[in-house]
Amino acid sequence: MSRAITIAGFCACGVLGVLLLLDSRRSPQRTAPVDKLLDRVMASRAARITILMFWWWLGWHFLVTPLTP
Amino acid sequence: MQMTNENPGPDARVTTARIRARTVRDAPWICILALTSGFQFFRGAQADGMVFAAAAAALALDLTGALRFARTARLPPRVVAFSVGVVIVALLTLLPRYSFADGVIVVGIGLSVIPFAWPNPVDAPAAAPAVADAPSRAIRRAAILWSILAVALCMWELGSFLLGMPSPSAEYAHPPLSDLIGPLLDDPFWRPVGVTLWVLGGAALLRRGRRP
Repeated sequence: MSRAITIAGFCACGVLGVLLLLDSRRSPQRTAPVDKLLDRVMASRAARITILMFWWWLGWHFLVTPLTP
Repeated sequence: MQMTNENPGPDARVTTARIRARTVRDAPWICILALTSGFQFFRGAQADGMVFAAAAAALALDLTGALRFARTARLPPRVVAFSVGVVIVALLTLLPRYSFADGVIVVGIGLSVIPFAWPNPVDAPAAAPAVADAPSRAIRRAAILWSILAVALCMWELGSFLLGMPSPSAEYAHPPLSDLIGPLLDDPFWRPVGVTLWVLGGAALLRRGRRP
């Protein structure tokens, strides 16, 4: 049961993300599309490096460092 | 000399204001990297912790003006980027997962990205106002909603990790996201999908923030 709730929480985050993407595509005047948001946020070096750092870490985490048993 | 200290010229005031504004703008990002570094050390991933700490330190040093990099690095043409991306996807798909070669490639990608990511296009005089002007209502709304979602996901992941710490059965009951996604990448179908999404995501992110 706990496992199902945990997985459901991750799925809910994914579904909300997709809904947010769809909402921003449907009404960009109300919620800016994610590319516009990233253009704005990533104009700052600190934001750009931080976001790219997390992207890079995903590759490192899933492809290079094995999961602990 | 005394008068200069008491009444700094307009240039000095503008410089001080810019440094202060940049510190306020950048400090949250540096804190995010530092917190992530601390969490990585806490979970025993020393290398990950050091990488995040190095990024936080580099950005903190940059605030002081101690770091200077060339400002002219440009992204390669799309055809070159696409060709490199295809080779990377092929290598990361065909090479054994967790192999030394995978490590060299991923580290190489990280190091190669720095010269393209570090230069600050908005430092150019024509683009400077983009830093100072207020974001639109739509941008603010999107920023708030995405931030809430990102924090919620991080909290859920952190909660799962902490609840799963005591034992393997607790970890089964509260699996972190890595435990759910990681095994998928051993599958010959999902691995190229995952690697392709990762490479495309990086390529897309590298092109953001370049249009003020």
